[in-house]
Amino acid sequence: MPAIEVAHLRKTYAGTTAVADVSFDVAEGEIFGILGPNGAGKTTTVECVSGLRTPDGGRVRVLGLDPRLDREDVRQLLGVQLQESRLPARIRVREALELYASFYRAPADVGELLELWGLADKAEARFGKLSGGQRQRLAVALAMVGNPRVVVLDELTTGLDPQARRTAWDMVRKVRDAGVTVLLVTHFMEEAERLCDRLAVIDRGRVAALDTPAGLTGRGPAGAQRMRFRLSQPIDAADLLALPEVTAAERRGDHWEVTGDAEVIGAVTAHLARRQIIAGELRVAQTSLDDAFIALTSHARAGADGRQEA
Amino acid sequence: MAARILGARAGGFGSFGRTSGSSNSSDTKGSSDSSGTKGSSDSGGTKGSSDSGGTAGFGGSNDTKGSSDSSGTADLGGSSGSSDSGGTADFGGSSASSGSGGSSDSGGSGGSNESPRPRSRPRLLPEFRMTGNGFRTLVRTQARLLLREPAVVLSGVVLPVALIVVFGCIPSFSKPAASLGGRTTLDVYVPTFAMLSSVLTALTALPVSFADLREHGVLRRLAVSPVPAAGLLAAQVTVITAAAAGTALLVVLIGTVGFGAVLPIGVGLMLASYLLGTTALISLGLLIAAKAPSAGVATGFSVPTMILNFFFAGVYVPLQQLPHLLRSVSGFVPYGAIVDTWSGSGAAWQHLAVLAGYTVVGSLVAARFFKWE
Repeated sequence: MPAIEVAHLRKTYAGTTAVADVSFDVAEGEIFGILGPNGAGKTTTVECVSGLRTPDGGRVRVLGLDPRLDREDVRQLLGVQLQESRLPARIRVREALELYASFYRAPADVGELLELWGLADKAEARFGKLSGGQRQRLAVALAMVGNPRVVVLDELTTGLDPQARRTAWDMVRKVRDAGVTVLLVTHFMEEAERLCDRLAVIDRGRVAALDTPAGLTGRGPAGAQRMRFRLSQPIDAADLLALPEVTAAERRGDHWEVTGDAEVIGAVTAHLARRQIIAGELRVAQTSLDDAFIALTSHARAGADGRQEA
Repeated sequence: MAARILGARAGGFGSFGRTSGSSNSSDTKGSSDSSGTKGSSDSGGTKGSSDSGGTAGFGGSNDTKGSSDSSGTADLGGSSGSSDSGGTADFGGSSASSGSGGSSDSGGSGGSNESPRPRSRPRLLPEFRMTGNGFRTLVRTQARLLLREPAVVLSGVVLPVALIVVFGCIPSFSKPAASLGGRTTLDVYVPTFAMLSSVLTALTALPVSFADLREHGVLRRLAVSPVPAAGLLAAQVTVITAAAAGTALLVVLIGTVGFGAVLPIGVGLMLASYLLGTTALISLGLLIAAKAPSAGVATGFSVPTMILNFFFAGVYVPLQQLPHLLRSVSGFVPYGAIVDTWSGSGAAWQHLAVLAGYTVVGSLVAARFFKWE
């Protein structure tokens, strides 16, 4: 039995389709990422999984239970960190944890949670006085307070500085190491790449791709390379595009960015050498999940409304 | 699919069946207990059979987690309520398979899920099932948070007490007046001030604080925890009632013992009308609290409600000067019914019945239609 099962989920708000058709299964013990541009339907999907919203169609199960009909049982097993949720400004950290712990049949120890999530020295601080990173740590601690088997983390790192973000990633790994299945919503490629075992890319309410991060990267332009360099004299983009190895050539400020197949580097440098143009500051990179993501999501867009976004 | 049929009306009222809960041994890790909900977790589904595999699996997996329920899971009104919900037969069926915690239960219910189950209809009454410890902690936390709101403490506690002290210190207010039927002004005002805390907290502090929590996503976070809406409301009601009752007691003591005021009616009737009056006012406040999307909207509803209550209680214009029609209406407005009871003029039992009606209907409707965000 999958930890989370979503099949043909559909949800419409006042005529706007937030989720058109989303299906995925999350196996027990994995970190599963939901990736997508803003407004793609990520949050609506996890809200349906959490039982906050009633789907208009399709099927959602958490450990085999329906989040709406088996409200109490699902909540005993599912920990949730939500976007746009807060605590009363005047509640203290320890009070909040003790309060939420009391709702569960087999809660975690509040003292241990405070230690584990680095909140021990903030235990008596009021929620309103906490920093963004501290609030996120508390949010994760609260998601873990019921000793859940599945945890939903919705945009955990949005709004955090890079340092706090790295700490948050460690937290997610710690959650998984405790044997908890994690459903992670994010729009950061790097985060998804580093943390997730598998990913669903959601775009315009549909699953655009579902694979491992490596698998998704491979799906981008196959075996593609990207190079970036500065030229000693101007050149026409058409010149480069005329090469069969080149798929894209674009000038960005002083630099050129050229993408193409595995042979593109040799082809471009040879071509430039023939014309006695020197390519300086040359950098070469494999295409990343970023590229795959943009390829996947902008594809759907271009098809739908005829404009290309990069 | 089931969610689609039920969800719109019924929210997540999956399980009725936890009549046992506390009957089982407390906290044996991973014992085969765990049953309680298993059979019933399905009973709310209109498509019982489609859920069956999942439910059986859950029964097994729950064992490994060892979330052996215990610890006094209180079903406060859940089971008794559902017998009113029109699904009596269904409820009987599901409780038979799930209730009374036989340890073989989880296996048994897994099997019984294979056959089509009797369907239970959407519940009319709200679910109220939470751990006893959860309710107590919620009450304690909400009481603390209330005490950290200076405005509420000032209007709900300090103001009524200050008023009775001020009135008590005015000599002419302690002299019997013919226009008041031989009673003193202070006599008349002791009950009014005693009730003031209830009116202010029930009709302003309660709905505005809930709307504020809703507006800021605090309720959204609570919505994904196991705490039921009715439990949340009940805890807040407990806190506010206790605060209002404490204030009222203080006001009455200061008025009678401190300044020699005489209460107009017997203590029993006074107490009954006070309690029912407070719960009726709170139920009105809860109706606003259940829905208002922001503190501003809550204020927009609660202030007119309060003014209407004041009006029909004769605060602005003495009731005797109102047209007959309005006077008869006032007996059906909470504050009016309370004041009428105290004046000893109206039919006390009718007033008490009206107040009880407000309490029951208002709180049930509020819990049933509570919006988390």
